[in-house]
Amino acid sequence: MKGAYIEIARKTLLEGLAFRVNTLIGILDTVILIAVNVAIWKAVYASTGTLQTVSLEDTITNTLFAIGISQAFWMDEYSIAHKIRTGAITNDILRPMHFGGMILAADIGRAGYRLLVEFLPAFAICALLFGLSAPASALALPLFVLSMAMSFLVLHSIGLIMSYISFWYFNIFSFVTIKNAAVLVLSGAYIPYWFMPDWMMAFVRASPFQAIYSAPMSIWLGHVNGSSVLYGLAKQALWIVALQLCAQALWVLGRRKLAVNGG
Amino acid sequence: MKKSTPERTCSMNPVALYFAYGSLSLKALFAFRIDAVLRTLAVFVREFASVIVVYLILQRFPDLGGWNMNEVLFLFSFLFLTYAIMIALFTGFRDFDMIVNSGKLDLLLIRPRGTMFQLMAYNSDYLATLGHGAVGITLLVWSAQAVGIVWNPARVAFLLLTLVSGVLIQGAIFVAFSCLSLWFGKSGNVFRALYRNSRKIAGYPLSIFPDAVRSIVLYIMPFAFVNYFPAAWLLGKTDGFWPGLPFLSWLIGPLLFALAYVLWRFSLLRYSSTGH
Repeated sequence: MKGAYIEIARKTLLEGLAFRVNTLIGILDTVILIAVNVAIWKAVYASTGTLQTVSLEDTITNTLFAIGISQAFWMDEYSIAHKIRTGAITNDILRPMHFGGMILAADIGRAGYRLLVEFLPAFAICALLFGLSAPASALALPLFVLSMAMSFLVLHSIGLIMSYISFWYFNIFSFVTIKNAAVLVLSGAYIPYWFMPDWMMAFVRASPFQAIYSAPMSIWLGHVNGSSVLYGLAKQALWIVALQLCAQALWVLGRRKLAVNGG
Repeated sequence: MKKSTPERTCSMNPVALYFAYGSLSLKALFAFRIDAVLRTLAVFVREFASVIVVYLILQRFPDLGGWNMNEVLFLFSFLFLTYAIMIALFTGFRDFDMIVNSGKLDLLLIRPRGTMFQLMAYNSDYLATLGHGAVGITLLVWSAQAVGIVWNPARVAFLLLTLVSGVLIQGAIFVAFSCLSLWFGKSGNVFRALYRNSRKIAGYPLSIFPDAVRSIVLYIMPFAFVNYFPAAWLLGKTDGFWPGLPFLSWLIGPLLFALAYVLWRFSLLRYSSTGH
């Protein structure tokens, strides 16, 4: 049974590889995006860089990882919504598999493709061009990877909730777009958490947004250590559980609402 | 208003026909009223998010390559205003891949009106116009006042000419990439990636970027002429660039659009359907 989910993930990963030109565009896209943001940080640091508590190098490292990976952690809410709308979802429900599980497998496959084939080369190029800070300790590296994996699960869970809205609301464009805008501003990719104003930070701390890029980046850069690392990881895990419960509730309620024409 | 019958539509002059199409687009958009309002709001929020990022960065730092926050927001406003006007005119070219793939282009080709005219008229994403336009006007009014620009007739004329040229530059880009679609099949991904990045670069003073990044918005997608050079002139900056460049902007828009039009006519001659 587990094999079926792995197969879905593998197929989605290979699907990405089928379009070589898209792969090349994806790499170039990420390199340009990072280069632009690095140039912005260099320019603002040139004005009062020495007064900042966090170095330019650390801010660039945040840009390389968080913006680079945010390009890979892009969920496909619309295709599920499309299935719900057209009723094609009945095919998936009939399968002896958990629907959320299938979506997770497909999301992992897509993110895996983008991380390995698009992000890694782009990251290597940018690291050579702009440099980056080493991880705070030897242990920070595996913990960073673990934390980043949980960031993915947070984004996946939010995406799932967005898709399930289409049980009630025909067009989820507005919901997904506003969600993406919130992630852009609050996740810590474009504005690292150390540059967020206090009022904003207070909100972010109490929201799942901190569990996206701020959590793993604070581990890599050594802004947290000892037990606060564990606290951060536990908080991420709690958000995943909470969001998944929410998604599951929407799924159960939504399935009751599902009406398919022409049976 | 009289109902438009096929006979009436045939005898309409292009302007009347354009507005007849436009009112149909509006009707289609507002068939689902709440959805239309929500979608406009979403576009507004999405576009405003990039402004918030700039705002928050410049709360922490005094300037960005010699430009303070209000000046950068002034620079930003041109992008939104020109896009708002451009998308009302060129939605058909934005969705061109889809139009070709669905075979709809063939339908347009057999109608007794120009293909470019039909593409410009038949569909307009007015929600995007509203969303971008609202951000653009808010930013322009607010930032122009904050930086203390005195609007004399010469400056107003300069601004209007710049906006027209900015719309033409982006329209030319959309048309040229639609031509690429005709030649090479789907090329939407290349286009979207380039367009998104160019717009992102153009939101900031050109002087902060290394040459490789600059050349994207100077030579590949000349966004620098949409907002950077004109805004710099209005703010009395040159940033070390040739001072004639802001005025060159007016030439570049019409010139690029003329080139794109020639390419378009040429590409349509070579078009053979997708085979439906």
